[in-house]
Amino acid sequence: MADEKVKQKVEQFGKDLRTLKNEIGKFIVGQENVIIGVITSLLSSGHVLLEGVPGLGKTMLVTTLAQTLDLPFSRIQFTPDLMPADIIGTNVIMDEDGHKKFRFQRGPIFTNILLADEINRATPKTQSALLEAMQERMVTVGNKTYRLPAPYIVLATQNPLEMEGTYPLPEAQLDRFMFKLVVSFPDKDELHEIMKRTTGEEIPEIRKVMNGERILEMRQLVRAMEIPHDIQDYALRVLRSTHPDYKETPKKVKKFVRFGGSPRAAQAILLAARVRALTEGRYSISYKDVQEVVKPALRHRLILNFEAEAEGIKCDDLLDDILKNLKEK
Amino acid sequence: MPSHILPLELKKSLLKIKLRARIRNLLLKAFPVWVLLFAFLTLFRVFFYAEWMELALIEKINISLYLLMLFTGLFYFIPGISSRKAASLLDKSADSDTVIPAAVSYARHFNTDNPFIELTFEQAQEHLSQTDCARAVPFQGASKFILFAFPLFFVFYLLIPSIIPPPDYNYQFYPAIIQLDKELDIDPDISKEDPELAVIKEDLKSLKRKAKLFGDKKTQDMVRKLENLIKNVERGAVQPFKAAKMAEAIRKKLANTDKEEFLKEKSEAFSQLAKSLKRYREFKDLAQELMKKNERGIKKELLKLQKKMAKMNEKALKKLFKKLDKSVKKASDNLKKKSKRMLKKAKRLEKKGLKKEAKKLRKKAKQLKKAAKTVKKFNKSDQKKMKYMQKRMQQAKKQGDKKMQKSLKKEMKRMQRKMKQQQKAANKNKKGQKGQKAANKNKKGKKGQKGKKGQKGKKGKKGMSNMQKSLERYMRSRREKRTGEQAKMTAKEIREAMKRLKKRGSMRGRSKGIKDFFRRAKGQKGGRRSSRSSKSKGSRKGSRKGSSSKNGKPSPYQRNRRLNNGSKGSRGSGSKKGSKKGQGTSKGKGSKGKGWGTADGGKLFGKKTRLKNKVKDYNVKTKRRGAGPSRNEVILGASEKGFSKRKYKKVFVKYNEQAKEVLKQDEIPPGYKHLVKVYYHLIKPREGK
Repeated sequence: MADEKVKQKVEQFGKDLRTLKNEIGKFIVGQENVIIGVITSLLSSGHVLLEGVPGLGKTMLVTTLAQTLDLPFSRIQFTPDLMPADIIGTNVIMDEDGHKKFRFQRGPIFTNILLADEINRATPKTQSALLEAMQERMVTVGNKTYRLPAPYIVLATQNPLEMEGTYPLPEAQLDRFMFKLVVSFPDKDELHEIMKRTTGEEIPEIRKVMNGERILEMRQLVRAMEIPHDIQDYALRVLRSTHPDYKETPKKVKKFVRFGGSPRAAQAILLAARVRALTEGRYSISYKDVQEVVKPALRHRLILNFEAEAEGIKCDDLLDDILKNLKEK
Repeated sequence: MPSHILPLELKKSLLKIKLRARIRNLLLKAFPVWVLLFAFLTLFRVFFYAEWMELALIEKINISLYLLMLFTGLFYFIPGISSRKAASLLDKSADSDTVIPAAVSYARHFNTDNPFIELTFEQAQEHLSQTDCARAVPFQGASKFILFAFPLFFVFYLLIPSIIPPPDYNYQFYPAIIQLDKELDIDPDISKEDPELAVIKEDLKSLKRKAKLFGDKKTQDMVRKLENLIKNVERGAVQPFKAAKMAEAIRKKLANTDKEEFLKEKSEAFSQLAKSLKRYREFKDLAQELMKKNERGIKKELLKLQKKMAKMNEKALKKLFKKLDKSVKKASDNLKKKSKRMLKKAKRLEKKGLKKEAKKLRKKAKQLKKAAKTVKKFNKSDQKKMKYMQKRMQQAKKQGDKKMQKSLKKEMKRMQRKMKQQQKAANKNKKGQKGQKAANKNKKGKKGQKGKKGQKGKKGKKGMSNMQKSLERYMRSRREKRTGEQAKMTAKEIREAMKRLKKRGSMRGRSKGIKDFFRRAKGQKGGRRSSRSSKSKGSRKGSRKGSSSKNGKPSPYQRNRRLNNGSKGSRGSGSKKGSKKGQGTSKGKGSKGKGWGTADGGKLFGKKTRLKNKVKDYNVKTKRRGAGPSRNEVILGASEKGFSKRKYKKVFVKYNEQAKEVLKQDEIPPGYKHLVKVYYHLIKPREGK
């Protein structure tokens, strides 16, 4: 009986996910990996950092996602003068029954889907305001702690080109993002489609296909899945291989990496792999599931040394090298 | 579900993958090692045939290499791969997107009850259809490697060993010829055993018998060693080149004897004695035999003399012993004089500065002096001998010669024992003669007169027995020496045979040669099959001949060939390639020939066959076709000379004896002696024929 129920749930999971993807696909052309990445993060209780040049539809993607999900959505445009209170909220004096009292005025962070647009433009102080919210799903103002609504997901965007006047995210902040998704430039066909959709008269209508409750149910199903020891071992070996002082680490990684991924990366990998397995209708994860999510989960967690930056080495190349050299045993 | 069991199909697939992985391992990892080891095997085989290595060592190496191959195979086959790895390989064949590794992992690590696990097992079975064992563990790489390795394998394992046959563990001089043409009426016994080996064995057998009868311990020992050596060579345990060395070592050991001096000294003594005995009629025949050194004759004469002496009266006996005493004394004196003369001559030569010659003469003089002493000893009584021995014993003690002391002690003991026995016998005689004493009282006076003369008579009797003993010793030593010499000769022959065997190498050429001979005997042409071997052999022989006849003298080989070819044998001179038959021009260079000489052999074997007579010829179909006498020729020959009436055995014995005599006299060069022996072995009458 239990098996049948699980079967049904897994089937439903897949269906819902496909529906959500199709709905987003109505507005966003191409960028399938990014869409899947965002949805995977959503279902794995993770946050996403989207990186791409301006105009590729990063904000649009997040807005569309928020529209398809029947959940409150906030957008914060990060600027150098943005202050933490602008995000979190602040205590304001309120007149209540002739008495003046301090009341906490909630900031835009109190939402289900938060879009932190151009996050690297704000000062580290403001960026750090997100730390607690992202990890603990709560905000502390003064001596009072406020819980954030569930499901909660932060989708941050950043522009890799305009580095002037920006504040690169600190490692601790980066580590709190489950995935870093790179939004690539669309190909010719996709561009044609974008032109057709955005310059035409017809504007596609977006339905709300999923609510918060369903997302929480799906998250529960994801966590119910067992992880085979061998594959977990493989994921951990991948993670350890990002560290230059590990014996299985490839020479290239040893040469160019200063620090490898944190245990959060392994958690992200295994959770995302489970979502991927369920999406494909499998009851357990495979090696490929792990391999597919290694790059988005680890690319922002590797800290390269000066030599790597001088030689223009990218994290993705190093991760490819790791996957290539690591045997499944 | 407390523990998870993998579905059967999945298990089967995993097992299949494991097996494939093992085979792949074997092909990719063990196979190159095998190829390498086979290369080594082949190399050692070549070493064996080049005689750089002994068979025993080759055997050990072969066993080690084969064991190494076995271990390599097991080393790569047994470990295999784990289920985890097998699952991973299966998964890879389906693009790493299956739950098979997960299922295997659950089965190995999980004991908890989870619906996801159960469903994973089901799904893993479904995913099996996506997998492909051949893709998971491909033999493609292995097959590519095999394409490269197989030619090597072929060369090392099949091709080279077929050219160089594997070491023959039953090393024979000549391989047995299995197929013999029955039409030729040749007894297959001929080729069952190598004739040369048979000759050597026969020689050894007779030598062993002789050594047992006449040889000393050393010779017997060496003969046994030679016999073992031949057995080992036959078995293949000893290589011919090594055997040749061993035979040479045995020969050298046999050559180192101290009998030479002793025999020379005795020979000198007895020839001198023979000269002095010759003057007396009674000893004339004995002296002649002594001069001849004919053992049988000497024995015969001594017996004759004893018989004569038994018939003689006391007076005649006395006379005879007196003569013997005189002869012994004279011989001893003569020898002494001779010795002195030689010493004087040696001194003169020394003065002239001819030291070498002087040394030789001194040696000879010493020998003669010793011989004089030997002769003198014939007249010595046992007491005197004893005294002499005691004197020598003292000398030996002074010199510290323990060996001499030991032998003298032994001899003295023997003498004492003998003397005691003699005394006992004398006492017995005395008792028996008591009764006669009274009767003889009257004759006492006469006895006293005879005292001195009686002593002389005794001396003569003693001299006779001493001489007889010494002669026996001398003859025994001579026999021993002769046997030793024969053993030495056999050792030399074995050494030569081994050297020939080494040169021959593989015996295939010989076997082909014999087959070719049979074909030719049937009147067919020499087979092409043997052309390669005959070419190589011929060229070798040709070159040897060329070199030997540079001085214009024909080599022994050529001489033999000429004899065989008869007067017109030059027609059958050799081909360029040096075919076996009819080779050799006077300058030693081979000119073109047509094989066998076609002319008759002159008058060596009677008159030329008269073919042009008026008798009508009939062509009778016989078993033998081609060369050889036709029926009418045989009948005609018989009418002229008649059929043989003598038994073949008798003829053989007669000729064989003659051949043996010739072989003994060193008229045939040592390198050709074996050919004569082999020939006589081959024509030996066999039982029932």
